Amino acid sequence: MQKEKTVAQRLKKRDPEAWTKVYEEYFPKIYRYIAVRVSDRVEAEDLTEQVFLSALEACQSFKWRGAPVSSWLFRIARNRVIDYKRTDKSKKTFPLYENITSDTVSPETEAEMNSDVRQLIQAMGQLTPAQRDVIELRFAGGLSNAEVAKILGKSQGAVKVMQHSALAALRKKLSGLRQS
Amino acid sequence: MSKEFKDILDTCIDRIILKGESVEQCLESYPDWANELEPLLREALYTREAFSKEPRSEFQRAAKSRFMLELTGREDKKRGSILWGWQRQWAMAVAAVLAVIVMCGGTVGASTSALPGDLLYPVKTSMEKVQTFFTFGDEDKANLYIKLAERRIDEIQKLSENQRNIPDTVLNVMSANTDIAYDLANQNVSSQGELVAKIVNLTVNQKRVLMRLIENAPVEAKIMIRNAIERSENTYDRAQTIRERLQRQEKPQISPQDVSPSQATPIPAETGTLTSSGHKENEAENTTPTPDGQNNASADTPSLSPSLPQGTATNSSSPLPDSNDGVSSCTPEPQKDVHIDASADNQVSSLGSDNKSSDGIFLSSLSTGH
Repeated sequence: MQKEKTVAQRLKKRDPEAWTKVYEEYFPKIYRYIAVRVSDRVEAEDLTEQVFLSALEACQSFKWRGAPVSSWLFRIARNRVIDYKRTDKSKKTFPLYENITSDTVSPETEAEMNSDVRQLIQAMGQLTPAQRDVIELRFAGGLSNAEVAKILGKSQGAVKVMQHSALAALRKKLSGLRQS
Repeated sequence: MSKEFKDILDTCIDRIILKGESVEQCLESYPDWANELEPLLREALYTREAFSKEPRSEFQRAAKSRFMLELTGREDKKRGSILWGWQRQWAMAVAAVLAVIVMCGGTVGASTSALPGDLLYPVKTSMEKVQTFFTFGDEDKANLYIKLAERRIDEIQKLSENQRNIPDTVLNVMSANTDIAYDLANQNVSSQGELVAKIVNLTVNQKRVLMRLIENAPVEAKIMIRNAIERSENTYDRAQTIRERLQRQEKPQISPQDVSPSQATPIPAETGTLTSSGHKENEAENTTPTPDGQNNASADTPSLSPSLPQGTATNSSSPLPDSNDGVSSCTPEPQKDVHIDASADNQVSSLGSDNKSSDGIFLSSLSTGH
């Protein structure tokens, strides 16, 4: 806890060394999380860069309230994705968790997504929004239960319940897709 | 399912995701729950692997350059700033005007030799910022950033010679300026040859200075210096690739003596070249994006990043250009011993990961004692 507080204080002071370490540690994780959510590499790259620039912009007003730095960064990432999804651009070309077929995904995206990932994202469309959040943060973002709980504003017990039910639902759905 | 099972499931997922353990290792720890655990853990592992897409290394490098520039730029701006809103804007405008006036004064003259940590060093960097603001055009900007990166490495060398501390920010700014120069050169078509030749020279010099520096650096500084070396090497590789491509395009296919002027036909430029590893360089390196923002010829983002295949690096022991050399000509350049890459042979190797390759190059070059 004390270590997290120290890091947060150094980030607030724009310590280049602290920022470099945080950037290098979380950049791939933020990217993976956003890439899963927006299913487009170009947008994922752009949004990932925006997350860190926004964090840098906002760090002076950052108040450490016992949450890890990762929670703060992922919260920014989550908000960025939500804002992006609200735009007309996202609705037109890259619908998320709907019936993903080659008709709705651009050729570039389809080329990049292999069939397994497409099936997985299709299966995730059957989850509740809260379950999807947990799966995306845990498995794409590579975060611990405690970090996910802080980001979502839920208890760790609640996250465990959602995690279990999400995995069970995914397994059931994917079994059906794989057989077909 | 009981609370106990959910706790066990969560613990096992942590072990798989965060510690890289296998499903079997987790099942060994909880044999009584193996039947219920296994299918869910396999699903967890599958999901984790499916979502493990890494960002492109070129994008990551370029994004980091921009971020560090923003960070260090804001560092200088925020230091001692106590003004708000319109006051700050007004003060900056006045400062810019004063900076132009002062440019004619002696203070600027005195600051040009200032080193990081000196009283006049902020004046020097402020003048540089004004200079970049008032420089227009990709070619001029690229030349300016090359010059600024050269200044940084000179400063680092002088600090080292005087046994003074070298701030991390100087290394970061040097690398960022070099990357920006490369990105601009990559876009600029008319004088691209001249620019990449300068960048090749620049990165060779950077590595030479930094390799000497790292020998006596404290442990914590070695990491920063090593990162800077890695960045220089990467930029060298990219610049050298463009340089080689330009040289191949300029080389005449037939001797002019064999064909009379009236019979000579223009030789079409190569549209795509193969590196010796078999990777085809992206033909669309200079293709402008289509109106919808997508680049038809490649999957690259419409950014300043080069369009090299991911993971490809050139390990050729290409000769160093003459330091006064501008545009590469058809005349073969003399072979020299020193080059930024430690590989002894000329084969281009296809690398699985930039990080791995850079570590390999770095360690082998350490062993050759550059």
